[in-house]
Amino acid sequence: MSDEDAGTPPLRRRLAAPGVIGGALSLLVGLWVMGEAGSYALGTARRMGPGYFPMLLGALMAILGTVLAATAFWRGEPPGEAEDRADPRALIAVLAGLGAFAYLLPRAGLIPAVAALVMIAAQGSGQLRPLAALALAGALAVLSWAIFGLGLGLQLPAFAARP
Amino acid sequence: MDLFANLALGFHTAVSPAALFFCFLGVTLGTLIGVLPGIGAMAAIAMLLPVTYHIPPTEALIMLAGIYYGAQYGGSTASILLRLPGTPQAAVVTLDGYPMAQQGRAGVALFITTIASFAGSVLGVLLLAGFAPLLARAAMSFQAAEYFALMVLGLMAAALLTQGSPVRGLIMVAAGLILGTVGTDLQTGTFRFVYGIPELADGIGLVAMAMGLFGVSEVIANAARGGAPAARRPRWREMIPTRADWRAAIPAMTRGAGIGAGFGTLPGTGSSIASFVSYAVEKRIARDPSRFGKGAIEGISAPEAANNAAAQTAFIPTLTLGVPGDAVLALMLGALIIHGIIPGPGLIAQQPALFWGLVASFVLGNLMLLVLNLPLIGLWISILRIPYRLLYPAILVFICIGVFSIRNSAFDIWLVLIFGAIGYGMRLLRFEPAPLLLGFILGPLLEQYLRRAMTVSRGDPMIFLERPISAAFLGLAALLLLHSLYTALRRRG
Amino acid sequence: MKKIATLACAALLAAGPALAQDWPTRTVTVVVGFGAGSTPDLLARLIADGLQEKLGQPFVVDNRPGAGGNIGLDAVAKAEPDGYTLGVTIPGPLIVNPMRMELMYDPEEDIRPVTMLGTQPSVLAVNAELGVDTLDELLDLLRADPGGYNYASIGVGSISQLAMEMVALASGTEIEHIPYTSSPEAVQAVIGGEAQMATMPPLAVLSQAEEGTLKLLAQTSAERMPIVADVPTFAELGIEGVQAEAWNALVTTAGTPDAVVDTLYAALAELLSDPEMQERISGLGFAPVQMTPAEFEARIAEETPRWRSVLEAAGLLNE
Repeated sequence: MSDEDAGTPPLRRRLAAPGVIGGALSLLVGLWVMGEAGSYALGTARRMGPGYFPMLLGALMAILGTVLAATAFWRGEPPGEAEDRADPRALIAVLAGLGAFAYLLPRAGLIPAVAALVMIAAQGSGQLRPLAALALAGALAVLSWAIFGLGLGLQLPAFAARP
Repeated sequence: MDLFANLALGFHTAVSPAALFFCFLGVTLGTLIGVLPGIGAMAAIAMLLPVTYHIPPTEALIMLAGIYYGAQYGGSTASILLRLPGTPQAAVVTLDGYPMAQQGRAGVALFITTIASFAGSVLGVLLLAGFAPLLARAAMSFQAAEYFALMVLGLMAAALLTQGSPVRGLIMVAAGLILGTVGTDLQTGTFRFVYGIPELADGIGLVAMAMGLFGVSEVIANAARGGAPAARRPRWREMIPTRADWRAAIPAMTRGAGIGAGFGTLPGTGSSIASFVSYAVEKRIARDPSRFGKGAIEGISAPEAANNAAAQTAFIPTLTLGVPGDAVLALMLGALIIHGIIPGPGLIAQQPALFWGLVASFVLGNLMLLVLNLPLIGLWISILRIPYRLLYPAILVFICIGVFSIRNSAFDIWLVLIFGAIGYGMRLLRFEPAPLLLGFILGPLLEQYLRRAMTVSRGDPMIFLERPISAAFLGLAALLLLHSLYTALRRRG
Repeated sequence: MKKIATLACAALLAAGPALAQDWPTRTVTVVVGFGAGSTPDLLARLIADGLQEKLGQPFVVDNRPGAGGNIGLDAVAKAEPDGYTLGVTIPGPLIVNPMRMELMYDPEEDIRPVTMLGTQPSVLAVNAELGVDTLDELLDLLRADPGGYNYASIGVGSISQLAMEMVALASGTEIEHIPYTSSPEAVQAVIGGEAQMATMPPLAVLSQAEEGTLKLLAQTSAERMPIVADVPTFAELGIEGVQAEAWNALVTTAGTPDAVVDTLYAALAELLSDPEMQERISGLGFAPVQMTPAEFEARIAEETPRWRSVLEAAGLLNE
């Protein structure tokens, strides 16, 4: 990447720069916030309504997003130090695990929820064999119930209560 | 000035066996609360409620106060080891503390933050003892315009504390402010950005958001790699900071403590603003600012000293103005009232044994915290010896239970999921989440102060420039912005 | 078969009282619509402590300040009707605000009143540097610079707002309203000079009045309350309509089982008749009250038209 940065990088790469994407997203969020804020009473500068402050913030966000996108596009961005690349496997495993926990906790209780979270999320590394993951899930489920439910007295039934 | 007579009276109160016991209980619980983001506070409060009303007010206060400042010590532990900050103050410590842990210097980082906590607290206590009435009066002279300007300065410091373009930091602050408006408008009761979701009427949970943005996004980024990029097993011997570490850390602690003690008197938000401002100061005066964010020792010592100093001076508004900053301080106020003691400007004069006993207990409590926390470091860093493929599912369990326990809401776990995804996206686009957190907690206050100031001025924004203190803060904020724009432009040539 | 049916009936019958004994089995939250340190908050903490002792489960106070207490009452309205969410409220969110603005809850449908806990007078306090010693002098000052002054309140629909609107009416000028979310904050604003006056609970202003930073000009109660015996009432000074005491009451979510409310009320009645508790309540500037749920509901019905006429007089109806 650094070699090409000396000259003008191709348009596609300039458009894909993190600053351009981030700036454009910020602009969109800002505009959306302004639209929503407009649906609340704005009031006046002297007596601000509930929409006034969000409207200001949306505008600020939109302006900053434009500035970021424009500078990143025209001036280019210095290359990042630890260039992160999206890792779909870890992303999906971790998020699905959290989703399983949120879904199961009120319906099935703490132990199934923790077990599901650990089983699913552990797939993200691709370094844990199924049996090891199962053992980890079981251990963490029992441990967390013992520590947080029994020990600290949090309201966490081991198995489901509510339908 | 009979400060010594007062302190003698205070120590006389604070060294009774009962007082020492409750002080120890308080700081121990506080340490636990601080280490466990989310989980600790609710469990401790439910546990302590029955106790506080049935012991004498001085002991109750000593214990509750111990929880409050003890929690500040532990707050940085999870941030440094696992990038799990439960508060904006702790988020500042992740900036350099977590890189230090990745370089195998977790022990040094925890050692330094413990010492910084102690140093900050001691300075805070000294200020509390010597100048409480003066600080209270200064806080009184602050009106909406001053608070607004001060928060703008804090936000500017937050926006500019990371590397790269200052515009990115400003965007994060704006995003935090916007997220802070979610919920019910404090003046009219109108729902904003709620969309019929009852859980959102109260606003987004701070811990759920922080755990998603910091913790979950970090786990996602590292899971596949089998560990943090440069994760190295820490060695016990490397726990002790080197002479060079001390040389950098001690002046930073002193500056941080001074900044923190000053900000602490602002109810509720003083210590988080102080953390960000002290970090920004260290970065500005450093010879080589590029070290920050990669494990600069000043980057953890200054904010940690600042937030502990602020935690001590935060007792001034609670005791002399009756305005508590958080749930634990509100419990303190409750304990006072139950025993028929009304907080107010006259409290120090009317209840000398209570006030000075409390001050003396702070000194003893901080010594206890020092003794308590230093040996724990060995235990904490041993967590990092666990292989990451086994550790990260446990981190996720810890996050989930902690967040759930705050208000027994599975909805908050969905928030963790959403913010985890957003945090990972931000990471790819090189946005640093710490400024967002400060924007989020200051947002609702900033709005209230803006609205009040504009009502007082009958809609004239010049009020912020006509009032000298407000103008000075805004001027500083503008200087900070210009300076970093200048360096950003020059760096790019 | 018949036997089974009888057994089932018996089981159903037993379920009623059993429910009452089943409450509370876990932490009960007491929502307060004002900031920590405000008088409703302090009273709630006192009552929560007493209930905890009587009923054997933690009662935790949860502050949800904002919008004159509406935000807190809204949280009670939307809670599960299982008795684990209680609320301490003032008349504003329960009676006054529904007449003034669109709300997210309907107190008649969503809230179940339990009992009144105590009443307290409100005192008009002004910053001593304003240089006025009586209400008349204050009115003259207001007339000399119409629109030039601000008052602080604990939020919309509170007596702290309505009383000041009546003062404004008497002066024939407008006073700018700046709402806060607790009495300590509002009082701090008056001392700091952001606002010049506020009508507040005695507890919030007495120590400052003794120090000389605030001056107390009038009180809202019909007769002078002993805690502020040297302060004249608004009625004595010729301002009608605000002879009201700010009461604080305990409420819960509509649909909460009778058995739970009965258990709760029995514990409260015992608590509020305990002399030691009464003394503590008085220490906060409240006069303790005893009122059954039915009496409390009747009181709400009786007060509603009275507040309506106050709002009408102040021009605040349906803003």
